[in-house]
Amino acid sequence: MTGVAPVVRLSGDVARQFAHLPVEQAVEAVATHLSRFWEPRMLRDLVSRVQADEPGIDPLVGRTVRERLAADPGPTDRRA
Amino acid sequence: MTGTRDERVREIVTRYAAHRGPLLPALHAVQEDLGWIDRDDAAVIADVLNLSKADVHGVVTFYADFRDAAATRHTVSVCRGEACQAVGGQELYERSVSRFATIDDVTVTEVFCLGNCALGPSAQLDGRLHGRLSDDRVSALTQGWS
Amino acid sequence: MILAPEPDLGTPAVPGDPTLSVTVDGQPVHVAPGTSVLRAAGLAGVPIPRLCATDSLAAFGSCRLCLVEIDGVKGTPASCTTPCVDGMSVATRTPQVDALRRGVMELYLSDHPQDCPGCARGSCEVQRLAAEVGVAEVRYGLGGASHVDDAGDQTNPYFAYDPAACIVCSRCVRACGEVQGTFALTVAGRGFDSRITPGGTNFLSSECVSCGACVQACPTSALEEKAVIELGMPTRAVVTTCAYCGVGCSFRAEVQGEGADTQVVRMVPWKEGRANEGHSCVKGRFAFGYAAHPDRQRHPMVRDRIDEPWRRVSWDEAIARVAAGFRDIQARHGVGAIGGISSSRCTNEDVYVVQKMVRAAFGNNNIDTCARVCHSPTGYGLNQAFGTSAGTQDFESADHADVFLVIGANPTDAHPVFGSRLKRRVRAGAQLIVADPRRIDLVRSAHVEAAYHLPVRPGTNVAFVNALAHVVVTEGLIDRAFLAARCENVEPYLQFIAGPEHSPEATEQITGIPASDVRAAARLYAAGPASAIYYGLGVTEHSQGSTMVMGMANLAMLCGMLGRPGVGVNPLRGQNNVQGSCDMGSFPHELPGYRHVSIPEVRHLYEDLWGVTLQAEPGLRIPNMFDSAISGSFRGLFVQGEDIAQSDPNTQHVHAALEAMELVVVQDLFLNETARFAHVFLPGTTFLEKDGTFTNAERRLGRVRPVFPSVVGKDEWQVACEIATAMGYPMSYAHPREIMAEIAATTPTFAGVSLDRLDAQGSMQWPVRDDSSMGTPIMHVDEFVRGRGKLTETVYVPTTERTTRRFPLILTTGRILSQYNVGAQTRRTPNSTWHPADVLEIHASDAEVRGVHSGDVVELTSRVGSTTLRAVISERMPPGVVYTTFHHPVTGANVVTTDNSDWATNCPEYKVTAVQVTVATALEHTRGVEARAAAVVAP
Repeated sequence: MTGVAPVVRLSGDVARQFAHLPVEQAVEAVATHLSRFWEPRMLRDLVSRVQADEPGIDPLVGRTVRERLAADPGPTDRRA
Repeated sequence: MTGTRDERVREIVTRYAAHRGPLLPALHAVQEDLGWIDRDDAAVIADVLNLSKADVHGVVTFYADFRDAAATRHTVSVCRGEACQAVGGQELYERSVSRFATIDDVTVTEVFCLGNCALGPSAQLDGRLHGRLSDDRVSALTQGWS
Repeated sequence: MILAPEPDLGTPAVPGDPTLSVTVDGQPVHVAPGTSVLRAAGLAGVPIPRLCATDSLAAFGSCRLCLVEIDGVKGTPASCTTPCVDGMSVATRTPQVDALRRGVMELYLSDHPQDCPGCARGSCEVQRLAAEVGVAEVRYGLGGASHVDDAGDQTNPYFAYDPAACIVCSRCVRACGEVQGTFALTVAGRGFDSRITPGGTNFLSSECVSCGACVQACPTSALEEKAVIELGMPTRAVVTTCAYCGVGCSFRAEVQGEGADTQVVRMVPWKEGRANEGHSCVKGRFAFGYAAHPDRQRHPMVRDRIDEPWRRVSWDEAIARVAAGFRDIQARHGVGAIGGISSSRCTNEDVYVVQKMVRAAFGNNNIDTCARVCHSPTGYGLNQAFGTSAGTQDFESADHADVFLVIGANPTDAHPVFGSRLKRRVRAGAQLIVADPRRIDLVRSAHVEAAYHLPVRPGTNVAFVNALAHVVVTEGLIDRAFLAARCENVEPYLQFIAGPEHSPEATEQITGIPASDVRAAARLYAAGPASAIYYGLGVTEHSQGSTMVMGMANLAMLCGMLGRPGVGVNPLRGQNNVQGSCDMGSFPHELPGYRHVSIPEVRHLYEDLWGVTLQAEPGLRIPNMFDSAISGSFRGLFVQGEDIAQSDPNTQHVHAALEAMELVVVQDLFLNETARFAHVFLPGTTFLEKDGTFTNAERRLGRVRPVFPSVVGKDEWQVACEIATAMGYPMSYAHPREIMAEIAATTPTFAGVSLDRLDAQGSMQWPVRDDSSMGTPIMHVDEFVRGRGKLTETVYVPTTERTTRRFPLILTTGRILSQYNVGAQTRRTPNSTWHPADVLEIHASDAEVRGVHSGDVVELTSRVGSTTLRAVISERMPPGVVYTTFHHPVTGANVVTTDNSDWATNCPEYKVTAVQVTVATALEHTRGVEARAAAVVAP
């Protein structure tokens, strides 16, 4: 685990839980989770690492970030 | 039978584990097969029967017939119930204690009613019941105990 | 003056309506069928003398003092064993009864020391009762010739046994069995030779767990607290709530003196307390001495660098220093560069004010709580499934369960009073399934035996719970009506879980549990009729902790095991106020009452009240704070009542994070491990000084009342208010009552709660929706809080922490009865008599191949670190798994635990660390008889 940035490891943990879903749903699930529970600086950190194509990033995380989080960090009201 | 005492106790008690109210028959079996119930047996017996060690200790100490050392060659069990008491049971017990005090191989114990109330004072000598026991009869019956 | 004990009606209450009408000495009284004459007399205000009867125990009928005459009944029956009959007329003081009672009492006196110190002190009832029944002379001699010279037993650190005073009433023996369920006491011998004994040995070496139920039950001074012998009887009592585990027992703190001179003599569990009903464990009853320990810090201290010595300062200087330091960091590094951690050991009022300080004064949402590292997955999982982050039942519900499924919890050690309740129900016939890698006491101990022990391999809980659900679904054991009426996502879930990959046969290789056992356990659970799940940190502290919580919720919904007595999904909370600290808005994404910070109307409610703008984005969680500290964006931390440097995983990482920060402010009772990294130390208060509420695992708000004033001059909530004020955000309350009023005014689930109501009407379980509600013992009765219960497809995703040839064993961690968490309190009490050091439990075969013997010092190494401790070969362990506790800092259990965490909540995966164990060769010479003998005392 050494050498991997915490946001890369933690986002991978989230993505693995949804990897069984069809990819559209998986992206939705990961995006919802990250925007409900992650502090903005962590999201920014993750976005910049994805944009820099850092190694070790879960492909589902990469896709979620590019499709859903890079521009808009999420909907404003994120109740359950 | 081979194995350590613990293993043998476990083997004996396990035979009774499925019985209803297994503790007393298991204790009798241990005493029968191994001669006595050791203080340390309680842990094994408790484990097999899923009781506490204290449960086992309480029952073992309640009954005078369970002993914690090998039996002596001879036993004198004097009745101390009320009917015998009324006809000299206490004196019989006290005299028996002093008579055998210097003989290692005899144990004198009290028991509470041998069901021989009409013929007191009573005692069991080596397991055999005798009524109307006088000093002389005890002497005669125990000749050669030394 | 001697403090009156709680009223004792002699025999236990019988449930039911008072349909029988009885008169006792002419006084009419109405009682439920089954009530004893003794209890009816007490209720009628005509107490009958007795020695062997007490209302915590079933009637025994041995002391022969409670004899009465009953119209139309021959003789003088014992009132304790005689049930009331409608229309019965009882006389308790006739000449015949009086004479008999005097005769009996005369016999007791003949066997009791004339100079009984307990009788002189007021802690022994014999002479007082003799006077009461009018014994004038004793015809048989005095002084207890048969036993007055017997040796006592002083081996227990907290209570003494003095056989001279003993009347062999068996109350202690029965309390140990009926109430505590340990059966460590017995009567040895018979007749005049009868003696109470802990199984023929001394108390310390016996099976006794030192719960103190025997001491409480003893009518004489034969079993008595050493503190009472030393200090004399208490003169004043304060009813309060225990500050150890999440059972939240009520106690009478019995004390001498007033104000700052108050001396706590003893803690007596309060019979009216609904969580514990008069019972306690060794921690709650006896381990309160830490409050007066010399290590206790009483003054604020500061230093510029962590390698400098501490300098004592005034509160004003310390608070000014904190405020200026935090503001300075924010000026240089941004509003989000600081944060706070609230404590589950503090009151709801303390916690609410700390989160308010962070959100309103710090201006961010960087507030987290130590619940992060224990039950945060409970909050997430139960909220997803049911719509609220709390257990579904009250503890009393367990008395109605037919089947218990206990997963990853060790109640007899970690929640002992609930453990006793559970064992009592199992002895009464309920079935028990234990899922735990270790053979915990519940699996098999005196008079209790689990129907199934499922030794689930650490890290595979989700595969296990899915297998249970698979059996229930594929064998047609589900409650279709419940699912149709109450749940959603039913069909997709049923399709998912019916998949062959979830069958017990398919998962056997993963979980290590024989498929036939899983099938049998699933059938037993589904059959009920009332089946209850109880779980602990063995569920939550995993990389799939949240998923497992949802998996258990799925199982309960499938079988309709929700919304009535005897069922439910119930977390056993580790700390006294874990539930409350979560309720009070301690999570960085939620305002009080579990409302997400992104919800505008909730934010506006607080913004209007507090007069600030609140952040709409979640803040940092504890592990995120550490990561951000290392990367440089987080530089100031306020941490209250949690020793993160000892209790949080991957110690090196935590230490590096703390060292990286510019300002670490620690508020605690003691200079803990975290304080080594602090720049400001603020002394805290114990529960004996606090005023407010704790919320236990059954959502019960229990009143915490100050027994003596704060020894540090301030309460925690005051300190938080003063820090906020010094930072430019004025905050003040005159009393915790005002804080609870603000909580009630802003949080619908607490709307009906106030300290005044709790004082007047007793404890309440939230939700308490208005002033007329007494709360909600059982939740989700007609519908779930979220409407329909949600079934979630719980896919098993193995943890990334894997065993390898280098690290072939799995380490899992837990607690022991006598110690509590990092041990800050219990290590400073005689509780350490039972557990002076942490040990590593290892299976015989794993030990043998490594050449490890019990008592050896071994090195425990994981991918992140290594530590040394003594090994004990234990039959509790399955092969491949080793276990230790984390009560002693020297053990450094968290030196080896990793950064892995629950995917949803970042709760650390304490329960799964791949390790290797080797004999520490340098200590080879310690091997021998002595070391092994020393190790025998360990579990």
